[in-house]
Amino acid sequence: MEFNQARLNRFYQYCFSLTLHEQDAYDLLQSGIEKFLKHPPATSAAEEPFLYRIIRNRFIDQYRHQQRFESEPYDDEQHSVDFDISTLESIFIDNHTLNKLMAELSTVEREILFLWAVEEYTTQEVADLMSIPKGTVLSRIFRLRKKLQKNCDESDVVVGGMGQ
Amino acid sequence: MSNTLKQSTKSFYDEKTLSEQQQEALGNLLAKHQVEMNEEGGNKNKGVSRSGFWSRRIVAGVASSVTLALMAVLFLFPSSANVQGVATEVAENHRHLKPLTIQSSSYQKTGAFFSELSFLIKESSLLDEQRWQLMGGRYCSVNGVKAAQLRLRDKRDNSVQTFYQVNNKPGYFEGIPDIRNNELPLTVNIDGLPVQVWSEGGIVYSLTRSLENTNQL
Repeated sequence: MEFNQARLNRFYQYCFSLTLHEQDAYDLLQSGIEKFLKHPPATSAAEEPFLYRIIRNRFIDQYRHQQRFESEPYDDEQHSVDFDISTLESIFIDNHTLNKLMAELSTVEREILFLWAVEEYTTQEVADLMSIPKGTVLSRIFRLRKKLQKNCDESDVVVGGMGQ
Repeated sequence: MSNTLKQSTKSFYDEKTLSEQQQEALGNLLAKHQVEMNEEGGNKNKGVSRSGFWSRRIVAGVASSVTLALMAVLFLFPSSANVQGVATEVAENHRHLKPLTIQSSSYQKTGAFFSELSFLIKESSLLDEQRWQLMGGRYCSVNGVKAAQLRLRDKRDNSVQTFYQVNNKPGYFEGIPDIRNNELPLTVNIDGLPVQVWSEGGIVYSLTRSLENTNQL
């Protein structure tokens, strides 16, 4: 994998979605790349998701230890949900509100939001990368959407109809 | 103003970029790894005898240091840039439109913002001022040189284009046509995006729009 400037920035942004702190994000990226270089994956096609997983695992190791990462189990809820990640498409939000909201979202919600909006992953791809069941991703989206709807009442967030 | 959640999220993360120092540090880390890989490959091919181990280590260490230093210098101070290099970077930045730091339709006001540049931004005679409306700008770099990234609205189709201005450092930018010498702008197609590059009055200009066989855009 070629680590050009754009790709490094993309990984840095992913780290920021986890840490919500610039220096922590850089430290996480650096340690992730170091580990990646020491133990590269067998195939080049798997390099990008592999580095994402390294970063994610390192983040969980470091920050859960410091109790800065939520400790709730991923599969704590298995709602019967009949919508997909694309339901987020129908939400409109201004930048100021989003900045404020980012601090209120859980780490996992920010991560899902990043993987969907920036990496444009599908629900299944998000589930694969996060090593959690697809149903858990869906229930997280459900929760995320509810938070956004709550903000809808308080500020300039507009939630449209459910997309499929 | 509300955007879709996806657009707003992208904008939020686009603002988060590594600093130059951080990029340099990661560049060094990657370069060091590459050197080690090369050394390891060489040793596997040749075999390393115990008697020559330390002398080879010293030579390899010196070579690594020199390589790293050269890479760091090249990373920080690229020696030259051509039309293709400029266009590629401009296209890449255009695709990741970052928020404007200053929003203004006035070149004078926007120019005052770019106080860290060694030149004063100005309109190019190639651009029809009746057609192009300035929207604002932000700092950026083109091939390692600090530049102004301006955003223009094309009144013909209401599209938003990116317009770069960077100081035409003598001996640095190569093969950039100078329209004052009656040379035509060069158009480079980067993954379907036409990018024009030209120079005028000591400034290298680049615009994400194709030439339309006229003397003025």
